[in-house]
Amino acid sequence: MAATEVLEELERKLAALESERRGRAKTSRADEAREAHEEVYSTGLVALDEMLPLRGIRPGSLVEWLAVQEGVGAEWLAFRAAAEICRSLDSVGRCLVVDPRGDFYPLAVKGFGLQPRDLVIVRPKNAKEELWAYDQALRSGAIQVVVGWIDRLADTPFRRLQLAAEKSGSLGFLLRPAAVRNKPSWAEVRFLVDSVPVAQRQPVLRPGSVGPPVTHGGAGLPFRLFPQEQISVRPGRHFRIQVLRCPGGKPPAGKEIRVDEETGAVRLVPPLAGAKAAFRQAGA
Amino acid sequence: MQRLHFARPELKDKILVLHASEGRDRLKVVGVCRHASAAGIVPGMPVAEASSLVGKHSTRLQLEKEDPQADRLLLARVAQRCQRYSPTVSLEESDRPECLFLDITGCAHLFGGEEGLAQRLTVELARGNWNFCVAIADTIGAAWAVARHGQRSVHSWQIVPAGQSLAALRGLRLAALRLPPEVAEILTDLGVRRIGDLEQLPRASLVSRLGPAVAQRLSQAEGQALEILVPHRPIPCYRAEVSLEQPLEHSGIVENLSQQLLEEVLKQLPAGAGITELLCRYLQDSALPLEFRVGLFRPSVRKRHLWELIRLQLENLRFDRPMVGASLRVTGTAPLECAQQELFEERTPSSERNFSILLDRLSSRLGREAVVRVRSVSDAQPEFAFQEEPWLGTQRRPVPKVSPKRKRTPESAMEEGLSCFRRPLRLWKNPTPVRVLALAPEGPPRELSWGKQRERIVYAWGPERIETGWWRGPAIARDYYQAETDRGRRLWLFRERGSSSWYLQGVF
Repeated sequence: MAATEVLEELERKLAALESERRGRAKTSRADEAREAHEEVYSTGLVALDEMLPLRGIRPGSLVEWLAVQEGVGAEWLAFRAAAEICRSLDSVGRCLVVDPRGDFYPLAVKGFGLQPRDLVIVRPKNAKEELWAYDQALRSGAIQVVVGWIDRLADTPFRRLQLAAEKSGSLGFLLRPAAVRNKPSWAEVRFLVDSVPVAQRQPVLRPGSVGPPVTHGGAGLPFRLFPQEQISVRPGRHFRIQVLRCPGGKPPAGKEIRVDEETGAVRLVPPLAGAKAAFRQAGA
Repeated sequence: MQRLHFARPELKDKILVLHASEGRDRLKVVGVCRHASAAGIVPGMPVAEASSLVGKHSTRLQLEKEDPQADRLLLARVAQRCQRYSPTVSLEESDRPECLFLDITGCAHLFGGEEGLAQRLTVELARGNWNFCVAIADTIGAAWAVARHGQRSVHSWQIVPAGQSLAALRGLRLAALRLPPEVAEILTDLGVRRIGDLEQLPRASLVSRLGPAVAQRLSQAEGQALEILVPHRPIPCYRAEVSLEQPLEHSGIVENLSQQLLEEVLKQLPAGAGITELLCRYLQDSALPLEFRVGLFRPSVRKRHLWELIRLQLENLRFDRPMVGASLRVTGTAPLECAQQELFEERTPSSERNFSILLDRLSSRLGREAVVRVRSVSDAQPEFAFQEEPWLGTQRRPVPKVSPKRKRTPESAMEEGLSCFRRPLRLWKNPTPVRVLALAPEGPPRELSWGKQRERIVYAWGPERIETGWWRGPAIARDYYQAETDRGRRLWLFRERGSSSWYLQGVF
């Protein structure tokens, strides 16, 4: 059998197993939630939903957001998705943040629509308390999304968290460094998030603008000094996202997503020739 | 003040000042002893100013945080003792009550008249080393005014003859009338200093110019308007305790005993009452007792849930010596909540119950201060622009409504909507000093390095200038920049305007 045929056969069997699991008798609140409506939660970012074969995240899942480095925006995407899910119909609407380092800034999430009355911040003092807090929050069923930074997670506690989420139907968003990408994971969905450096971005044409298009890439960077003025035009955040694992089929190729900071609009950046090289170069 | 003097007699020779916080980093004086008063310290003054007034006597200055709850509890105990003189004893209606009202209608003859009653009460309170004044009058207002503002000495009593309440008040200052502060200020500005001056003004004009408060207080002092006393009812004590004949160490026995005590306490509770706080205390052989509190987000009488919370705390308890006794006391109760389930409500009672249980469990194991919620405060400095409060203890506080005067403009709504771009998700309370290369002295950063890391900045947005006033403590003057590096990282850094030092404070 050729290699491609083997792969296709394996994918068919995997899809069948996942369908069988969804079709069997309800044993957990996650199964009930999945049966109740669309079975998936949208992340609020259509471009991100389109990268997932199921077009969203299933209730009762753990989702890993692996950041290539600090400040690339993995937390931004995770909280954006968490806020969207908390606002969705039939949701208890609460988000719990496990903040062991004590540096989470809650006012930043107001822009995503998360209200302070729906946000619970937990500050455990050590790793044991941290894992316990995750477990309790996921198990309770009273929290829609549990978000937290967790660098080290051994296999057994990871499995326990996955079972807790599956039983209650809550979602767990784990913000982790990309260094753990090769470690075993019980997360149903794994995103690898990086920021597209300015030099690799495509030119952006502003509709209705007067004058030549603003080039964001290339050697001649238009970095202007503004001793007294503010730089008002923000080029937006560019994310490079790769789905390392997801249910429902083979993970698609990585994509670039651009978020306009003036309006909050999100769109997929179509790939250009050389994009694959860019991905390889970035270590995706 | 008296509570602290009772608890710590050594404070009597100190310049004792009570303070309360007024927002972050702002402390104001709320109570002074006579030594502090002699030094010129008055309530309302910032603590920093009070400290400067003390000057060379600074070693005698003693600053203590006010504790209104403890003060109220102590006053409640005195109220209980006063119930032998009247069946109706009430605490002053105030956030910081300092007076007790006793309705002695039909009781005075049991003590040989009003004089006899006043004498007996005075002797009893003096025996307890209290500083007080007693006044008997026809009305609540008159008794309060004479006791607080009449000519008095410590441990004295005064009786206002029947029908002469208003005459007794005439010479007293306006503060004796219990007026709202803003109304008293207006009257003082108008030259009205005494209650007698107010009597000469027509009542109708007082109402139209100053509102109903002045006329109402005058009428209450005269006995023409009703004023209600809310009797103080002591909180019943639900308590169970056990003393052991032999000291025990086994953890299983400690748990069994605790469960038994919990069952006993639950049996004592009346129907409809739920527990909001428990105090568990374990006595050790020749060692200090161990105790912990269990708080609940919503009142509960579910034994399994309460036991779970106690057990979570028992796991962290370390006995140095064998246990010789244990007690469980209910320190907070509230009516159990019953809510009818609605057909289309977003949050079902079961999800709310699960949420309460989760908060109870997290707070019990991690500590009340480790499970918090936030609310925005008006402060320019980003790290102080919100306040945290524990979830436990806030369930009865209503969600603050937006003032109708402060309308939400489209610009402010948009600003709030874009806060996810303007403020980092991670903000460090202690900013990291960094080295920054900028092409202009006041210009945006161009290159950033700290430790072994070095990054070129390709975009910088700013400056966002944040300054705070000198009156709120250490003033800050910072120019913040949102910077994107050549590796695609988004950072939040600032330059201190005074020193031109750069700091990294957050990541987006």
